[in-house]
Amino acid sequence: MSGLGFNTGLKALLGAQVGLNTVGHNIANVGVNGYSQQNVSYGTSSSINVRGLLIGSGVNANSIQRSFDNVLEGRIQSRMGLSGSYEARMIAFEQIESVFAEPNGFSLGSSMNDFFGSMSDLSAAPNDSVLRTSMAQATMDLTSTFNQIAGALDTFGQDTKSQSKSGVSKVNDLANQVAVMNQQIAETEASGLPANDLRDQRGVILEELSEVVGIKVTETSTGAVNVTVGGATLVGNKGAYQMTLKPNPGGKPAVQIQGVKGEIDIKGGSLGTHIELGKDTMPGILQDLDKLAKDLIFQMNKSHSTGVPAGGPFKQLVASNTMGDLDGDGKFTDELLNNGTLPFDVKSGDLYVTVTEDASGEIVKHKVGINPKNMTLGELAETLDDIPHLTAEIGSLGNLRVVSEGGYGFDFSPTLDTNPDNVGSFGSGKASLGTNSAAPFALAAGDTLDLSVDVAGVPTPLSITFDLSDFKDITEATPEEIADVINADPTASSLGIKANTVGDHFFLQTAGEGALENFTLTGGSAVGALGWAAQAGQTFSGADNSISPVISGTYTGEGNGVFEFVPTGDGVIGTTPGLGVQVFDDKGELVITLDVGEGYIPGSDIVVSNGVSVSFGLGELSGTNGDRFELDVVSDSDTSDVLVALGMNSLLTGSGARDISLREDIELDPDLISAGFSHGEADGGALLSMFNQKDATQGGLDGETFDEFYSQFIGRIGFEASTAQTAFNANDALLGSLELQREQVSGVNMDEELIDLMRYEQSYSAAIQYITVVDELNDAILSLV
Amino acid sequence: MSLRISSGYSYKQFLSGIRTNQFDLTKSQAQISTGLRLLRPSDDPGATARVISLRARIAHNNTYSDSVSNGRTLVDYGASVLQDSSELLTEIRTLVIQSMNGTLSEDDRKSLGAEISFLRDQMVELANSKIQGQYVFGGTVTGSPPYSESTIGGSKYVNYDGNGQLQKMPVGEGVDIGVNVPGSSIFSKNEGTGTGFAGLTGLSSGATADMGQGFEYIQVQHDGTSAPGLGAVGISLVGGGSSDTIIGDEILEINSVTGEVTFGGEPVTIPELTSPEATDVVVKTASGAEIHLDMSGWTGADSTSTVSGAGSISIDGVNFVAMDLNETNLELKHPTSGSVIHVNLSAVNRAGEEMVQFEGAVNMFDALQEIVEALENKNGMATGDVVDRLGMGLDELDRNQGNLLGGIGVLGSRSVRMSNSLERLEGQTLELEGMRSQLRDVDFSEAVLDLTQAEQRLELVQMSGTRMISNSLLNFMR
Repeated sequence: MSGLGFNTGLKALLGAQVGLNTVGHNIANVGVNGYSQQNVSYGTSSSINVRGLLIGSGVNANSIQRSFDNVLEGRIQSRMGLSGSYEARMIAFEQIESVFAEPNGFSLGSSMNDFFGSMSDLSAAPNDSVLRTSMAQATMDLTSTFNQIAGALDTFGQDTKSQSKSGVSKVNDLANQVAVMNQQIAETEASGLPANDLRDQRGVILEELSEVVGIKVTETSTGAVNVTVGGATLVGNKGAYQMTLKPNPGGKPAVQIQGVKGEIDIKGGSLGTHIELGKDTMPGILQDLDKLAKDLIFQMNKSHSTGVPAGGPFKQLVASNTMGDLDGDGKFTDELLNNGTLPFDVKSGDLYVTVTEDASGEIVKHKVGINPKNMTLGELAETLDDIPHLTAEIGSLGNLRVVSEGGYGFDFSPTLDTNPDNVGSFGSGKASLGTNSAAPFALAAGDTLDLSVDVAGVPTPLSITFDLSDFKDITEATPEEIADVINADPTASSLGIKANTVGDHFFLQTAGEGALENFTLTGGSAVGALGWAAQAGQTFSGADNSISPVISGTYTGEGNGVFEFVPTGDGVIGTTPGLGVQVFDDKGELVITLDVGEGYIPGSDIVVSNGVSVSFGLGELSGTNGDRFELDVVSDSDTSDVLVALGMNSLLTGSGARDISLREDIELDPDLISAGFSHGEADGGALLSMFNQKDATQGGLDGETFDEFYSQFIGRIGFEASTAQTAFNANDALLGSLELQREQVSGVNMDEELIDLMRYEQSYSAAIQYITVVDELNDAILSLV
Repeated sequence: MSLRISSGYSYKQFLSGIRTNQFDLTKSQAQISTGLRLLRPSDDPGATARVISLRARIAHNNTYSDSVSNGRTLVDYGASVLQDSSELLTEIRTLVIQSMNGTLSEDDRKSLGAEISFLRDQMVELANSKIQGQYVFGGTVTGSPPYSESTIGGSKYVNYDGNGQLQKMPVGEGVDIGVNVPGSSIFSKNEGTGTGFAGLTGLSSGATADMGQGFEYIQVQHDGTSAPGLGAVGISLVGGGSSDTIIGDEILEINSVTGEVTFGGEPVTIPELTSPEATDVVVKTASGAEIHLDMSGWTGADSTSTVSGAGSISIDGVNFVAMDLNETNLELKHPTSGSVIHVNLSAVNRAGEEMVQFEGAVNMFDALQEIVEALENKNGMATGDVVDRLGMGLDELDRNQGNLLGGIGVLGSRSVRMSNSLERLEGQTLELEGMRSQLRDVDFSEAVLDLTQAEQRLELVQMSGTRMISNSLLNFMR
């Protein structure tokens, strides 16, 4: 009996000690993250049969268990992953937001407003040098704001990269720790004991890991866990696998895990967000910003390139953009205009080049057709070079350079040709005969044109023969081909006979002017084909007065076109009753008939259409002899956008937010700002047209205006930022409630532990008391002996 | 069974309570101190986007208002210069009317001419007015004076070097307004109607139209007189006719009964043949053409004969062509000014300087110059001829005055339009700013309420938290 009593007492004593220890352990770990409260599980000792009685033998401390909920732990881990992801996103967007300084700071939006404001101010007084400087300044403010924002976004891009890098190394570090813990837990639990504290520690590591990257955890029978990331094993039975960060073939950051081929799709955690930010979000924001910058560059340059600077037409112009040598043969001249190396596309269209004589201010317009699919840079330069008084060449870097001859200047403005009758085919002083029928002319091989030219009173014969080889198709001869044959004839040029063309019409003219100049169309087999049968045998004389039509005004019509002026009959301006001049547009439709007969005062203006006026000097018109002239009416003098693509007379250089900039020489000399479309100093037409772009919907911006695009862009960033905040907060709340649940299960309550402490203390004291009693009983019995 | 609450959880809860409320407090405080509800786009992305576009529209409107008020300065200045010009022109007109009085002496006219010439220079200065370093009446040519003087054949002309274009300013979306009136529509508007002759020599317009601006002088020169019937009655031409001005034929009648010589006009009494006067008797036709007769050898016989004068004509006073009086459409071309005039010679009856005016195409300054030159009367024309020329000049002045008033009207109505649109723009801006304020600015009472609430919540959390933590079983053990 006594043995039994002592044994029972001892068991009670030991049990209370284990309880006290566990309480102490709990109290000691109350501040340890991830610690699960431990409890002692007691069991009653098996009874002993003493003479037919089953007598209890006390208590056993069976095991120490932690209060833990596996399912809850898994949910917390996945919430942790989201939390890490949202937090990273929230912080990133807070930074992005601060870069834009909206809606109250000095921002891209406000500098854009200032830019357009300064432009409008200057348009009202284009030769005010102070306003020019302030527009240059406002432009630089705008471009540097673009550059700064792009730079800051680039820096964030770099940051996300280094954050991803440190994220990956943290993942590797934690994975290794998990692997070590796995081993220890497996070893410990192989002996059948629960590895409570190790499991708690591993739980903490797994939580940390899930904050960095979204993981999936599965426990094996040994107590070890397998961790997978995006379907790839990070920690397996054999330990941890290395995660690496490498840019993928597209240059975007990508994650790989040892033993798995290809990119791992990472979701969740701060690493997942950082990779996503570096891969999609930041490039997306930069792309939108670039889009805005690029469209702004294009639209501003489109108007500016066809404008005229304060100093009048250019003497020299160098392209800011260089053509790339795509075929790598070291030459730029053979590169097609659409080879894709220019920042903007060249379209199929026309470029109008205006050459101005400095002394007289007289201008001549030249139309250059541009088809980027088959025109090379070299061909463009050659075409420009062929324009009288201009030289064009390609520089060693692949940039076009145009220079004018001394005494001449050039520009690309839509300004009207004030003296459009360049060849003198409209009642000029020259003896002139034109075709009333339009091209093509059905000549036959060997056809002749016979003239008799008056040379100082002596009629001198001239015969011109048209050969098959002179024409592409002689039955459909063009005026240019016929003119080339005549102008190549040495006799014709020695007799002072020159051929000219006006549109589809062909003219024979004397080089000299005056009433004494004359020639006779004596005949020839080509006369019929040219529609000159009625004129054969007639003499055509020059005149002392020249009608010299003068154009004034600014064309306000839409699109580019040609006005053709044709007399209704024969007669003298201002004198012959009923004499008129019909004006046709390029579709051949009659625009207006101008009354220039009796009652018209020679030299006075008549309105034609769309802002264009014309005046005719005194002189004789002959509708019979085919008098006519053409006027190019231009609203967009570069429909091909070749000037913008090459960067000729740009306002802004660059092609995106990173490199947008005010053209360098404009910064130094604001007089180079091309304010107007004409040579008038106070013409702010180009600036107005740029300014009007502010309200125009932009094809390059999905049909939105600059303002709309920008405010929606900022709205999107704000929305992303606020979504990230909201998501983070919501997740935080969820996480909090999960943690509350966990605390309910696993947390240590100090009061509870204190109560336990008292309980175990009491049972310890009681056990001692019990042993004392048993001992006293034993002593009493022994004293009997 | 009630829930287990772990000690760690109470601490966490306490901490997060403090954090949340401190954040709210700081945010309310920031809103109150900046006066703004939107501090970052994420505060309200939709409102931010609207605030940005409202800001752009406000900036846009301000741009327009700035440009309208700038433009109005130019318009009002232009109008005031035109007003001055118009008053000056009225003053000149009075002087011209005064000078047309036939009783004035030659000297009076000359001094009036000098005064008008002085006022003309003032008028040129007004037309070349500048504001902010820009010439007002040159169209879009504003860097150099629009009107410049040149001298052709002793006459001063003023040329317009500007253009006819409008300086435009944006005053609203897609709406531009011109802030200038080009000089070519006020001081030098070409409203040509034809050619007018002062009528001294009997020249008239030919069949073909003419071309030119301002005025020209055509010189009709007398080259010789033939008087075949006079030798028979002992009368000869003084100096062979070199001082005569007769062009064409006129009948000369010498009547011994009345003792008078008649040459189509007023009869002249024949002086004593021995007197010196008889060596140079001047007889004039009705149109003022004259011949000089030496009658000292007159036989006393009656005579009726035809006297013919031959002449030549020139527009520049240098190149003369002989006149064929059957020519009805002679072309005269000025080599310097480029004017082309077709004249009918059939009615030419005397030599002299004919003034030709391109009606409706004489600018204000040239018209004044024309008047000044008529008043100077270098060729000693008869008063009637001077008055004729003054009348022609006056017509042109009146036409120009009309254009001036038209210009004032145009600028005046633009100024009104601009002030209306300024008012409209400012109203709009006010409205837009109101809308922006609603979206962006803080409602202070609300913000202060928020602040107070956050403050109270924070205090409560602090208080309750401290009390909860201080409650421990430990306080009661032992």
